[in-house]
Amino acid sequence: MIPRLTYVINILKNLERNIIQSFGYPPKELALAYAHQKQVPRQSTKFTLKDLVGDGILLAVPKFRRTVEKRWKRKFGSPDYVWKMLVPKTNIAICNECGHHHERGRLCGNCYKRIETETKEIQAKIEEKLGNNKPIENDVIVLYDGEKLPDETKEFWQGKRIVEMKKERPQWFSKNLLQKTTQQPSDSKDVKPTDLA
Amino acid sequence: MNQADISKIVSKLRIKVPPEHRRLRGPQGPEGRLNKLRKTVTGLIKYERIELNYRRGDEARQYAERLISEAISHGDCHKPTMEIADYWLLEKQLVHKLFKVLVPRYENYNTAFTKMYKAPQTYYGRNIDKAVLELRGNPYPSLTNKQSNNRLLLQNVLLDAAKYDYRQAKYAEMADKMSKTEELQTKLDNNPESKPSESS
Amino acid sequence: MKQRALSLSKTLLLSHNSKGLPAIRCISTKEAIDRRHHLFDLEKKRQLENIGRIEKIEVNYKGVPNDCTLIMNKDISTPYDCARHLGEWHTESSALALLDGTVYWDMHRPLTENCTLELQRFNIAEPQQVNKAFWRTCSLVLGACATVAFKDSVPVHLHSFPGPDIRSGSFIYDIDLPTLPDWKPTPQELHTLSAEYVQLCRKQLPIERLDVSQELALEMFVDNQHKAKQIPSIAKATGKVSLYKVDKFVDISKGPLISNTAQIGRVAVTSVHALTGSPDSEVKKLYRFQGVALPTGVILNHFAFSILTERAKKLNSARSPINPFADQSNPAHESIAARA
Repeated sequence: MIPRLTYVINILKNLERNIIQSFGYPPKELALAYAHQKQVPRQSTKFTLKDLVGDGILLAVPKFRRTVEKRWKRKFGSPDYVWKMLVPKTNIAICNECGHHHERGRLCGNCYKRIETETKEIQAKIEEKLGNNKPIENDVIVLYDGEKLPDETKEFWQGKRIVEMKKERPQWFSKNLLQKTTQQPSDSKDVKPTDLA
Repeated sequence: MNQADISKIVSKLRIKVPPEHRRLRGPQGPEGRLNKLRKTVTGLIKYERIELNYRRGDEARQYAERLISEAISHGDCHKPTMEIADYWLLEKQLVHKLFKVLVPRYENYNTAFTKMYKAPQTYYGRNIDKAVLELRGNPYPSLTNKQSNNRLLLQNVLLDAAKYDYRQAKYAEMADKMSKTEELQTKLDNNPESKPSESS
Repeated sequence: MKQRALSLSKTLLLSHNSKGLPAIRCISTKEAIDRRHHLFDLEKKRQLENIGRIEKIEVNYKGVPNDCTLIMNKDISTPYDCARHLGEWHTESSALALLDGTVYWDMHRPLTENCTLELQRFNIAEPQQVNKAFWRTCSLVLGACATVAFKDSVPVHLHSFPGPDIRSGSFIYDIDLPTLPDWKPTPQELHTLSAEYVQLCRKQLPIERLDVSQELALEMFVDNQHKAKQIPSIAKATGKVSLYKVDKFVDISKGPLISNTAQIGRVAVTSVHALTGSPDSEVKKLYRFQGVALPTGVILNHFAFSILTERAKKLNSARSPINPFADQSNPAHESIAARA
């Protein structure tokens, strides 16, 4: 609040001074008291190099020589933190199925792309055909063009959700997958797990 | 010191469960993490094979395995299990799927119920490890190329032959033992018969 | 060295008709090996020069990563050369070539006509023939390792090895050691033999094949009476004897062998059993060297491998070449070698 006041007062003062200067001062004879104002001639403001450099420019400068260890550390990094050198990848293996390269421990990109598209198609078909509102009570069996259900009793197949894909079975999608769902009906006691890695 | 048998209280999952969970940082904090994981687990149960980031996949896998193992051990009449399923599965039809499809499928499994693969890396960009998480026994084409079960591979032929040999030897041994015991038995039978004749 | 071998071969050629040369018996094992190797090289060069104008053949490659047609040189290009066009992995992993879906062909054997080529690895769906080729190669290399392992004072006469039987659990080589009537190898000696074998495999030597006429084969194996007797019956079928060379060591074998000794991974020479011959056979005693091996890249833990080695230590019941059956009058040693 007070800064604002002083600000306003300053403005008024400046205003007053400007007005008097512009309109000229009243004659000296009329003034009550006046101060002699020496008109100091303004010096020519030429900027020389001496003004710039003068005593000297203060710049940042290295104080000590950078040791070779520090230089190396900056250049090459450290294996504990960030190693800045190129490291050859020795974990590239070749997929037995398609012959493309992939990182060991990961899926083969080429094979995965093909399986991914097929999976998405099947998923889309399941969504489209079997819908999302009814409670899901049975496994899904995927059949391709021209395939019949394996021989099982009719009761076994009742209620099983069958999705028919309108295309030929891809060569790499083996039919044996169906065997998992064609397990013996629940009255038999010796059901073995078929999916041991 | 007698340690109580807690193996029946808490189900031991067949995957590695680290002692601390990942934080999965997000704008909604821990609650957001749980919501995200719920969606992931719902998606997994629904689609049976999903692609996602490795870290979230690993977390979701632990929850999914626990969910399925609880469902198997307690069944659907157990109220707390039903509540868990209700919380974790956002689409309620999947609760039916869990108890009616997945439980019979996984009842006799000796292995984990899910499988996670590392997906190929995306180069020339920010690399975030991607993974493919799937339920075992799904109807899609398999992602493994494992050939080691091929019975015609050299190592398998050799091992099968060794196993056969060993078994034959064992059967022969057992047959030997049986015949020896039979011989002894017949000898013992003969001896008491001879004794009364002698005495008389 | 070459001159010496040449002079030897000259003297032998001159005195080919005279029998029972004491000079032959004086050739040490090492010299005999060098001589055979030299003759093999000469014959190979001669056959190459005989081709004359180079003709082209079309080879349809089927398999991974994509099917393609290769134009190769007739009688010069081998399936290994075709694999080199495809990539390093193909050269390293393929052990055998399958032509036209029917004929199994060695990787380093030149192709003779237009064909469909498939490269066979150890981990394909139907690896039976590859496994047999592997077993045969292991036997051959066992012979090589035995000739190298013994001291110069002990002459080593390789007899033969039977056809591959993988289910028996071990591969065999029957060797005649005339100066060692009663030899039971100590575990240390077996270990040394295995070490020699492994050294040979790690040298990554390609296995080359050559079809030679009966006379040249007899010439090459003049120092080894057993092989010399087998050669006529082996050559009966086609008039040619198929020889295989593994870095200076030359041997006779019928069927295809794998491409490179680097493909032999874990290997152990497990035991040596003495086979006594029937009283009327010429050879009184043979030593049956037995071993077991797995291809490179097969991961098997040490306990499982120990099961295999324990089983391989037992005497392999394959037919003995010097005493096949008690009642069979005709010694069938040639047919065994012919089948190997």
